Amino acid sequence: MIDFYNRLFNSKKEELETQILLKNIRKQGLKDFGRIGFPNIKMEKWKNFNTKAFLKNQYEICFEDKDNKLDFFSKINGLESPDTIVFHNGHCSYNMQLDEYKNGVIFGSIKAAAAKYPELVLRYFNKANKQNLNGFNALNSAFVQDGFFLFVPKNTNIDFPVLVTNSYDDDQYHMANSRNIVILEQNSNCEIVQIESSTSYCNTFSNNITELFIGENSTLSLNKLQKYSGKSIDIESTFAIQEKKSTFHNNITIIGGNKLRNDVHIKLNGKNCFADVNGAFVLDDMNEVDNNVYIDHAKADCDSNQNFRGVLDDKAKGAFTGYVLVRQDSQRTNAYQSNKNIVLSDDASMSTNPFLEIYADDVKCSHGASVGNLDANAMLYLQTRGIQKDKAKELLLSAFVLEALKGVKNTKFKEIVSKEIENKILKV
Amino acid sequence: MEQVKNKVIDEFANKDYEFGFTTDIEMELAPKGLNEDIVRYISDKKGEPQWMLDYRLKAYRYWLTMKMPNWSHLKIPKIDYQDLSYFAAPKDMPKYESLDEVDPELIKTFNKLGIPLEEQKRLTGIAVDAVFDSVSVKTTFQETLKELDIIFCSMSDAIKEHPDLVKKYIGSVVPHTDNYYAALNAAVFSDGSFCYIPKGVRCPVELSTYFRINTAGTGQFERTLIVADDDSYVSYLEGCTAPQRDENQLHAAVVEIIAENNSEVKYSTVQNWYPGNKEGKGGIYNFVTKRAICKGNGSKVSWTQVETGSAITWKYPSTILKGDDSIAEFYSVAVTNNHQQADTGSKMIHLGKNSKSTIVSKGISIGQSQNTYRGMVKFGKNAHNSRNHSQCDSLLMGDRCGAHTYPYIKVENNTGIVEHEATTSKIADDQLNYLKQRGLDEEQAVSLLVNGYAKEVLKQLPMEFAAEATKLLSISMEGSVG
Amino acid sequence: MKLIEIKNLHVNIDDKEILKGFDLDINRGEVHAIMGPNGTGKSTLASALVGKPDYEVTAGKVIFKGKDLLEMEIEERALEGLFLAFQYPVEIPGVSMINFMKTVVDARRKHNNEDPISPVDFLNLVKKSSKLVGINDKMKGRAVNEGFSGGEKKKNEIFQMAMLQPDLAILDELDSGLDIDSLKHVAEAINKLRNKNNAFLIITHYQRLLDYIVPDYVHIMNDGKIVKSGGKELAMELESMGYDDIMSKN
Repeated sequence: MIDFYNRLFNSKKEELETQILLKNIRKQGLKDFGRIGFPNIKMEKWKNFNTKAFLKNQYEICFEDKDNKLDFFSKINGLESPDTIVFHNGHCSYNMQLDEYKNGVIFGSIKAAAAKYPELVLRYFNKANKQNLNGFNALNSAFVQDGFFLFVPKNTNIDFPVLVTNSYDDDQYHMANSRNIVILEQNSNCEIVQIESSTSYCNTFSNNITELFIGENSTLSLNKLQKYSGKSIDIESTFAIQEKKSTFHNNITIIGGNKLRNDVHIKLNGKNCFADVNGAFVLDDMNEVDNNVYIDHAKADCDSNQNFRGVLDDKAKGAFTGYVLVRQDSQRTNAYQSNKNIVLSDDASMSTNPFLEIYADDVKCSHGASVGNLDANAMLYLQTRGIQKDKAKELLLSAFVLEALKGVKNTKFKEIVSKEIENKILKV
Repeated sequence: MEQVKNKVIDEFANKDYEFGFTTDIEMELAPKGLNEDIVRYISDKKGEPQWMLDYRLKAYRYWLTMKMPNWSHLKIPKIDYQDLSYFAAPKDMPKYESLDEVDPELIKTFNKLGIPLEEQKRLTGIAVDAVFDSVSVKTTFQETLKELDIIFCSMSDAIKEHPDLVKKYIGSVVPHTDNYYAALNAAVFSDGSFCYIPKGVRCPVELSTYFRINTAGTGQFERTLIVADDDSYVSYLEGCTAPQRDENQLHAAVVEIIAENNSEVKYSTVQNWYPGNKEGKGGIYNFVTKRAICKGNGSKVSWTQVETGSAITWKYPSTILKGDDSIAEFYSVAVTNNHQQADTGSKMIHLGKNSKSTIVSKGISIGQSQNTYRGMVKFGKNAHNSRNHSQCDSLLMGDRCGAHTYPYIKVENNTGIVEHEATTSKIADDQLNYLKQRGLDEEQAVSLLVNGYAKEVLKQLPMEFAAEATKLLSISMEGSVG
Repeated sequence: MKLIEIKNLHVNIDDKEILKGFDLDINRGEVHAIMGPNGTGKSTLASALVGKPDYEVTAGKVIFKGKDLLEMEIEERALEGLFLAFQYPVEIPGVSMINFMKTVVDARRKHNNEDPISPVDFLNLVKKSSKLVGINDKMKGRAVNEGFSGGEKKKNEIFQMAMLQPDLAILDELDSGLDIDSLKHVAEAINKLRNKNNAFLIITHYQRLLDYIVPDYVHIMNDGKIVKSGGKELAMELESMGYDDIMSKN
């Protein structure tokens, strides 16, 4: 398979180079990929995620959106934003879209941004991505075609959530390598809502990297809904670097997908940071989801929180690995981790691995994990009040999953994901 | 406050190992190195039947194909397996009929260890099988046990006298293919204890084995096999010490427990191998595979361990809950100090219906030590209505040590319930201050709190052992916590 | 027609017989109290009547409003007008009180072939009921029973009863967890809800509650069945004599 991607690279070299000027990054990516290849289940970090079956496919790349049609998701659910950027099969739907505001905010396609501000983009490109940690990351570096770029200069608040939608409906075996970069300079605030979806006939393999640079005293919220069809394969790596007194809220809602992997790496690179990563997932059919959160308390006086809740039905497979690293001098760290799951079907399975690795003594770290079924006493209570069994189950499951998202401040987003979760729960 | 604590920790770091004496007894040593001839030599020395030799050779050949595991959170220096002697025995081992015949030097050793055989025999009713280096020296209390048809003897004797039982059960829980150290043990194990409780018998005394590594440059590879037949009960205790030596010594034991229908086995360990000096020089490498199977319905296995010794500990007493309604428990206190490293925990593999397991692990890291809990709880497809509750707490004392928690939980059915909780913290200042306000000094207060912290585990130990464990814990904490 | 007829009810939990031939009839307009020492099966009766799983009825029958109660699902029993105020109401994180009550009220209306309640009517009903029981708005804003004190949980049970107006309400150890002032308040609310069309079955260990909710009949239960019945004076007698004497006298 390494050979195939080498050949692919060489055959498309010219186009790759004209897409975004990333000659060295691409070369390095290809080299790293050749060296490490795809991960496999024998590797500790990939033991819950078997990539073998889908990696048999030879995924081609394409440089343009063939039909460039309007995204079908952005309009539904009443989700609107004064600034929306729409991706279709990994390509920015309106060619070279880039919005530039008077206050210096730049928001749009990274391809467009790199063409206009190559230095700015290159200053950050691959700087949070840890030197192509795995084969997927390396492949993304080699083949990246587009993605979104958001630059928020210091002392700037964007007072509405910017919206990014990615939808996939390509029936060909294509690979979409999106690279998203968000930069918040100091004392800035912004919220990004990201909606990802795919159609039932889609064969795209999306392999994305998001790099986040959160400056001193800045706050970034990244609220994501992943609503993939039962056929979709999606690998997402998020790398965030937080400078002192910064806050990062990352809320992920997952409604299906054939194989979905989220890796969130956060480095708390200054004192008094707060990282908050939450996830809610409802899986059925043959859905497979593997969520991994790595939080590196590299500096003292930081807090982190992880809260993931999942419901699994049919033959769904779920996994959660939470990893908190507290380095030697990171005193006065508070780290909290929770993963609770409900398994509804005898054929579903869930693995949970809440890890703590602690080298400082003045810390308060805790984690809790559970796998079980619905609370029988709560079911009884609701039923004795006259609520039908199915309805009671639905109420309890929704409430259970949504606990993970109780910190979401964007009520509109919350409303939408709640609806999505409830709809999905109706099916399980 | 910080100063006192540093003083406390320094003092503890300087605390000497209490059991660091050696015993001068003429030893018979196998030549250093490991090859098929050595395996044959060991088997021959022990006068073993052919089937045992074949088993050893099979294990040895398999071991050659294996690599040392590297997934633990341990820094293990390179071990030269050819630089060890795989068999050491007091020369010309006589068969003792009474305690008087035992070499007085040996008796002295056991007395120093706090296990006077005669005394224990008389006062506590504990039957002791003492394994000195590799060879079982004396099994006390035989007569009482004989009346009940309980077999409690050295593994060597068992191989000769109860070959059918040994053949049936050895390697049935920990096969020689299980892991690197288990394979090594199967090839070169020297002795150990064998215990069989017949149907319907409640063993009236605590069975006990003391292990001691004495000779320099040896590895100790004992093998323990405990079989509880239907409706039986036994409580088994294991204690370990070793002299102070500059070089590291390898201890790679295997313990297998089989619990048949409605039987119960309680296995308690106080592990106090030499941990090395405060610079981290010397000490035992304790790479042990302990596993039980709740084979029968309604069977119960309970592991309790107090781990204070060894330079490096790699140990996961585990239980396979195969029988329906079976119960397994794991209670552990692990203290690491100076440069000690421990990677320990438990696996609970649920296969039977309505099986229940409990894990309570309390880690205490001091100095520059690294203390890791690693555990796995797995519910198989047919383990309906199974339950597990795990509580893994870590206490850190000093800012140069580490405490790590790696639980792996996997559930493959929809009727099981697993709950895992863990906390990591230092001793709470408000608790310390509260006790100090009541007139305790820092050391007393810390001692009290640490004891309270470990209590849930200590109270699982049999009475006779609990006192020893509490003493050991306070020795480990002496200077540090009172 | 009697509101409920319980005939020779036998109930097992884990193959152990707890109720051993329990008989009781209740008419509309009546308040019955069941008293007895701990472990005699009082709460088992309540659980078996609402249909708690694992409570196996091995013999006997229960006719509620002319229908076989034991054939019904848990929720059907509720919709037919049977209500249990739990001894230990469960906390349900994430399910808001308001959402819960709306769902419950609409489930009942649907059962009676009525349209869902209008938001205005619903809010009025909530207001009226919460005023009656004396629960504050903060409680209504939270998740069901989550973080409620023992007393708040009990008040919440009676609030739900006021919302649902059941035909038969079983109050299981209502006074546990309530201080004396709250008890008086809750009892007052219950007395206001009493009418000639409904009935109450009060399960209590202590006579104290019956000072505030005066029963028409008192039954003493021991070892899985009623051993003595009488009027409200039986509770007084019990108070002065104790269970042992009353039962030996029997």
